Amino acid sequence: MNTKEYIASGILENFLLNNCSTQERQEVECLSKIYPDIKRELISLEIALEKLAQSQGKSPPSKVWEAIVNKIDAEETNSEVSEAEPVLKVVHTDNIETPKPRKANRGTMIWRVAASIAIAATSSMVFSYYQTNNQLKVDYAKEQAMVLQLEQNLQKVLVDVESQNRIITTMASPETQRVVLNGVETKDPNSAAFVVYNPLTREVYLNQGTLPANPQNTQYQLWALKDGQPIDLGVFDIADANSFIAMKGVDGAQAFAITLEERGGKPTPNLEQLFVIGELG
Amino acid sequence: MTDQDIQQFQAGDKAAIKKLYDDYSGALYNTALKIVNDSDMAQDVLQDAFMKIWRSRTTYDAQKGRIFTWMMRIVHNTALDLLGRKDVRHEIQMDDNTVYTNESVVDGNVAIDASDLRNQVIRLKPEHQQVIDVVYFLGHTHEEAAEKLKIPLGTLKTRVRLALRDLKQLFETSK
Repeated sequence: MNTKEYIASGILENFLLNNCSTQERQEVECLSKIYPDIKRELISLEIALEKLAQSQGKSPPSKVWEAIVNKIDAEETNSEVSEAEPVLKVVHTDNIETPKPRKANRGTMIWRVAASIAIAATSSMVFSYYQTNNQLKVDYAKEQAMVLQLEQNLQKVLVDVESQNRIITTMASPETQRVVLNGVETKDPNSAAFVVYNPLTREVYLNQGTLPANPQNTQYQLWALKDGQPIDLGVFDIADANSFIAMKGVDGAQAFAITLEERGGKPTPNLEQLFVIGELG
Repeated sequence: MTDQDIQQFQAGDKAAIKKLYDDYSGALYNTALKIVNDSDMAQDVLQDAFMKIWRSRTTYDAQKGRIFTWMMRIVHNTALDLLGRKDVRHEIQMDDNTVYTNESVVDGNVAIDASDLRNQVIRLKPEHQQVIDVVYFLGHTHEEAAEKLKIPLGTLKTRVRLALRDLKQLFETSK
């Protein structure tokens, strides 16, 4: 490209004076990496402006620096230093609100939950192969074993992704009901769990929400309530990763409830250990 | 201000930020003064800006430009925040180019006495100084600058380009 023309076009000045679009900005950044004379021109303009600013500088009073250094020290002492590096946070669904009215929250809830599933699914897919030719030559057998292990992991991940995809599809379909199970008075009224239920396909997906961790010798059990009768939908533990898990299927459910049972669950619920319950809308 | 100084600054070395302050606070304070036109407020701007500079030290990317440019942006944003984002930037006086500092200006490893720069800057045409004040120190867009100075946009753009070209030549011939 004709770098002289590019330089003469004035876009570099605009770039330095923050007077260009994001696209132009990226273009300049990119081109200056590729073409040394563009980079040189940019730097000499930048330096010229900097020297101008320096030459017109006015000394601030010394108390300003004293204030700054005190603040820096204070922040370090209190360990309140706010991290400069942006931290990628996985969005959790543990801030399920008790909807009042429920319908108003359905709209945003579904997308927040779907987004957190997508992020969880993506992050569980990240792994990489490290290979060098030399290493392969030297340690081929070891590599083979590793590859086998990775293939098994991949299978598992694909299955997870498959099931997460199913959950997302279910959530998006119009007949799917989203049920919040609220904490009962005798346990923790502020806790909640969340069920996604498709009565046509009989699929039931559960999110543990803010249920407290269950002691080792116990498990939570999910029940569907139909015509006054409880139906077992399976047991689960509180997991570290907050995602949706598939439970047993049911049709015609009118409500869902979770009790705390001994490990393995029971055929009928222990109502004294009822934690959360919610009806279909 | 060497590359090593900058790396140490980014690593959290307090002596390094002191060096940054020593080298650049004059220029940054002057910028703040031009925007807020009040010395108490400008001191607040400088203090807040340096705290932001410190806290976001790892985000500076040397590939994208000089550290001074990065700091200037932070000062701009801080000043505008303190002004409540209102466009209260003040009328630009034709700067009399009086410099109140004798601090050495460091260019790479070569320290340049600021008094040399003082003499050179006086040779900048007043109308060039004016447009650079508006678009660089105050950070206006070209459109805003043209409006403020009550000149056509095309005139302003030409003036900016000429000003920068002259400025560049000024410092190049001095070496």
